[in-house]
Amino acid sequence: MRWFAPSLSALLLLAPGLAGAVCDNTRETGDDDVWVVHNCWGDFRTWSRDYFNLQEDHWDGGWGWTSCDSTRAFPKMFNAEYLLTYGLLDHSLGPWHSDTDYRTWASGTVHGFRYEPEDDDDAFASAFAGFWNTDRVEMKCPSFNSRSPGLRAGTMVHEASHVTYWRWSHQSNPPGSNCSEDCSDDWFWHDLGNIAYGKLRAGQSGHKHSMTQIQIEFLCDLAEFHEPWVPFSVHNPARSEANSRMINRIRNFPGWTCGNARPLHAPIAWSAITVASALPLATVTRNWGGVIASVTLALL
Amino acid sequence: MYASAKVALAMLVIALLAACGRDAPPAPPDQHPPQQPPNPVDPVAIVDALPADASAEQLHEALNTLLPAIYRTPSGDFSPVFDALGRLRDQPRVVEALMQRYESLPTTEYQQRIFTIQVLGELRRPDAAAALRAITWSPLPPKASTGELLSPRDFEEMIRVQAVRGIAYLRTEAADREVTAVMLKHESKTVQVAAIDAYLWNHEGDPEAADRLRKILPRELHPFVDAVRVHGGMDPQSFNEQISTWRKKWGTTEVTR
Repeated sequence: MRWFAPSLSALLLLAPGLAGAVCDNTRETGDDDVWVVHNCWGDFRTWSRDYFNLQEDHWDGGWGWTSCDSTRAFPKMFNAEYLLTYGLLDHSLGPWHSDTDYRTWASGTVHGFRYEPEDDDDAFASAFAGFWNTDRVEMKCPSFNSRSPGLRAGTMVHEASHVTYWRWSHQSNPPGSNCSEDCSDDWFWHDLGNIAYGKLRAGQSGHKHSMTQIQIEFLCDLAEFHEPWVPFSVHNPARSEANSRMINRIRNFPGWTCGNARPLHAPIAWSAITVASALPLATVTRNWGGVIASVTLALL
Repeated sequence: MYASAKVALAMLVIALLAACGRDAPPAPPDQHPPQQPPNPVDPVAIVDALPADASAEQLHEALNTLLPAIYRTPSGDFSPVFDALGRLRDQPRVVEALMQRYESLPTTEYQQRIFTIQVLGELRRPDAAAALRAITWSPLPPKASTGELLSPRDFEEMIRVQAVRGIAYLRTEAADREVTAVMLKHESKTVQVAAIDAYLWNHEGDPEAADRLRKILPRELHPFVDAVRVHGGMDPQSFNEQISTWRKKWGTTEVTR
């Protein structure tokens, strides 16, 4: 969602009583499951605050700036940022883009905006053009409550696109859409692999993606091309939402659906590696690839 | 005095240049090895602990442990889940127990409702057909003005998508007829498209199955008969060729931005 409005700071001056309100702290299975993977990793916390541009004066005071409690909003952002940064396999078997691409796309520092929390329920998040202050994306309570961290990460890439392409609001809907007001976007077609991994840049010629498009591409990549540590509680909702958005919120269906139609979808990371077993080992090995490499060798 | 002024000026210029030519943000720290503990719950052991003809109550208790454990399982550890579900399938009252669980969930626990229906479908039990059918055809909430939020209708559609997948996975003639009826008559386009996808996936991409659908479906649904799946393990080159064919037939390059 995109808005032009006075800055939050100005509004708080007018309504200081609102300053302390925070979203409910809720326990979410997906957040707990990602949390045990990184366990509040300090180096990443320090880096991600700067890279995604979350600032203490916005995320302290009840939002969990220094907390390692995964029920709070800032740690939930930490989870989403971790998935954006490390969640995809990035081998040559098909993700639309790499995690380097998605984290860069969602980075507030790269694109000159910051993420702020907002105790509001009218959207998952909203992007605002700065008037006195920096452009910003407000992450709202529906992004933190009953929402898995992968879907939250999808919201981040969606809203970052609103910031990069300011003149874009959503458009009229395709036939059969569930939306009763304009909520849809065009799809800008590109082949798999024609934007080299790590080279996707918002705003660059030939790299254009609408808000919902980049969100669907990320969600499907997370669903189908994730690292083996990604839990079902993260990749299963991502697949459902990618397909829902494709039909309800894309004006020109691009000709593909996400995942196969088995009721309980098989883990993809490992089936991908099975197919890749004829490829050189290097193509399926990543930074922590000791585990992956040993399995690949066994398959070979 | 003059020299110090020059030094100050030089420092100012350097500072300005540094401010203008901002460095690219640093790369993230090297990924530390995942620290997740081994899954403390063995799904196979939970099912094996049940008697051969477990009561609904015994199944209810087992599902209370088993389903959350499956839901949290990392992809790399998923094989035992299928082993466990293969054994659970032999329990006579498991469909009844899963439906009791489903019906006891609060309406807004969408992800848990979706997951429960996925498990029911994965068991591929013929006696689940009636329940899956009832869920598929249950009325959807009306369209709502929710802006960028997903609406209850969106989530309820996702549940019906899983129900129709469960029907198709039975792979019987009766199931095919049911899934075809969903393609033709369901109120939701998302569910219609899911039915097409499930029918074709369960016929393993048979071109004759696609031809059968083209003969009975309205033309506006034909692009979904020809759609390609993005999935782990696919060959990107083959995908690009298939999607190129799709675009020549159905695609448009007309975008309005």
